[in-house]
Amino acid sequence: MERYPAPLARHITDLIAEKLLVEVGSSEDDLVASGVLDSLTLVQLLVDLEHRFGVTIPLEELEIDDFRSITSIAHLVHRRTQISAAEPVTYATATLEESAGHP
Amino acid sequence: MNIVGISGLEGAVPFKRKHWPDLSEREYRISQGHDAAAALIVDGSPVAAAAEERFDRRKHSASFPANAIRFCLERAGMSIRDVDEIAHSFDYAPYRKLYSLDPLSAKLYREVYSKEALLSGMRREFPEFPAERVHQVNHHLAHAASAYYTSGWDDCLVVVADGMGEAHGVSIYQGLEGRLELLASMSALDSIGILYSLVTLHLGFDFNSDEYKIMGLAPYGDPDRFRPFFDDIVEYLPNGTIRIRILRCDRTREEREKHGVSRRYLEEHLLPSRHPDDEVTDAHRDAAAALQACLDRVMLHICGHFGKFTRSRRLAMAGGVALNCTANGHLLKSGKFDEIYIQPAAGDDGSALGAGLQRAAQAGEIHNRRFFTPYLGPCYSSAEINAALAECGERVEVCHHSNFEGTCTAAARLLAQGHVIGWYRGAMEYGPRALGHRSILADPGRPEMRDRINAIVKMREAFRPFAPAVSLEQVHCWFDVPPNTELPYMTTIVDVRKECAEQLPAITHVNRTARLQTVSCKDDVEFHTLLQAVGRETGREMVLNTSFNVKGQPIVNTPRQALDTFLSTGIEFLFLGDFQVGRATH
Repeated sequence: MERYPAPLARHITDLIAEKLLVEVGSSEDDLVASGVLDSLTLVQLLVDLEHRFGVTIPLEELEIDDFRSITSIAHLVHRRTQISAAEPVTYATATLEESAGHP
Repeated sequence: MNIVGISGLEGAVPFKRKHWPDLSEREYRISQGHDAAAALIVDGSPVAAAAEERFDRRKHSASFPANAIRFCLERAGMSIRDVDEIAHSFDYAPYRKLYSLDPLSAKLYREVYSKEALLSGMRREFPEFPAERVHQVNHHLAHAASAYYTSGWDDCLVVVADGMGEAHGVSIYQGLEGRLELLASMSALDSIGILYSLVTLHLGFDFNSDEYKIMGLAPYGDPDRFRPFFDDIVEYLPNGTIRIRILRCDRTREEREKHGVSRRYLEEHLLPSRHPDDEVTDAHRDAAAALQACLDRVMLHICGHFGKFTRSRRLAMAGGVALNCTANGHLLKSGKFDEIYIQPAAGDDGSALGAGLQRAAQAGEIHNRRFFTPYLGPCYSSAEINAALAECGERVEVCHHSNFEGTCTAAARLLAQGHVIGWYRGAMEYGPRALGHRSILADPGRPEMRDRINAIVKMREAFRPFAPAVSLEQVHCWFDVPPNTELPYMTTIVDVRKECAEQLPAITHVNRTARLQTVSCKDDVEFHTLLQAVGRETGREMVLNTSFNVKGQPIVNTPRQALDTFLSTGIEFLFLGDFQVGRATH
């Protein structure tokens, strides 16, 4: 599996802390077993990932194992961004809030 | 096409009871799928609709709406074989994988949310109906369809706000040329409806049920005392959405089942929780006022932003939050929209209508005509009323008026004399409000009337206001609105004119507002005729109009239920169609 850029895991950890108000201890922690992610929070995380990294993950294409840990989410985001970008991706952190005026 | 829309999740509360057996009764209301209902759409037009609670007599019933479906079919002279589609107002199918995260979620999906769970109700009640003709509609889309396709507007902003649908608390659509386009949605983790319900529960009232009581309590309080708390937990984002920090404190399914962590936060940072039997104090009034003011700001923020974004001057709304008359009144007064339409069955009962309408729209059958006053429920004949009267035997004295004018004149005189009457006539209303067909009426001009009605029948909290029904011709004489302002559904507050407030003590709330119902001749000729008769007696074409039920029970449906309620309370006279009923004096 292609390694994702080092800052990505930190960005995702920060995103979960900011949006879901959960501090994840390690990149390998099981987010499902610990109850951090369930149906509701996962829907929210999908939206947050889309806004923060520009990756769209349709519900029908979703694989639960991609969300087990920060590491697996980082792999997913990296994979998705590499697929949709011709140029190497630097992970922008523009948020929905900053794109004021548009839904 | 004949489409039956249905709502409700009959397995939700039983599942919660089974897996969390130690919760309190009030905590079991933190669940989805109450207010089961059915609505029949024939070639794109609603022809019959009713909530299941009116048949099984369990308030907010979540049971599979078999009685409501049978009523709809009977009213249209159909059988289940004539139905082309059943459309349910929840569609969890896209979320199936998300519910496979852990065994309990998977079981919840299987037993409560899945199509298979829905089909088990269908097989039990209508085994001959083919499963492939049962469809599911996204919950907020169903609400949006119920508002848009009955608005009569081709182009408008549609805002849906409730506790939550499948995963969201607010959804914004643009209705344009017969189609609904989703513009934005906000997670249930940011649901203003859930926040309102949580504080309702914290203040000693029922989640998913008593929010309107908090709305009634709010004007007695000071909204500024606890404003910093609500300003701290609700973030208004520049893109028109909101974020509610407190709801994210409940981090796991276990915690969310009773919102344990967020309720502790309320306990520590807002005020101590109130037990239902405790006295309501200034602190509770102030918290209710601050909560209501917060909701008002949120709805102005969301609707204002997306109104501007779509350049729409018309707003249609549905979802339980859209039943908050105070927030609707602020939206109306804000000047952000020229017209606002609240679909009168805005709660989950109305999502049954929306599910049917959405499927009809997909089939290209929608007419999008403005919803008439929603008398879509059961209607009983004189013979059926007679039979119910006969069952009451010598307990009642009955006088039959030979024509409707005579009935109105007699009722108007009794109202002018200060009597409280039951008014039961025509088809039952669809939605939570009694709009003149299953109503208790009184003179709004008597200061003692609020306490009297509470003492003899309603037994409700003294702080809650009663609502007026006024003729369209006189609305501007009594209320601060332009002539001919139509607000026919009792879903919006308006100001009582300053010079009139003293003349209307029984319907004027402490902040000089009233939860208005206007009645026009074109929408409801009979109720309008009654108001005119009242006007001849009192000088006001207006009555106090409250729902025909006693505390904790659904509004009456059948003539027999009306008679039983009449006989078990202090209502002085009952008009059943053209029958005037009194208590036997011997």
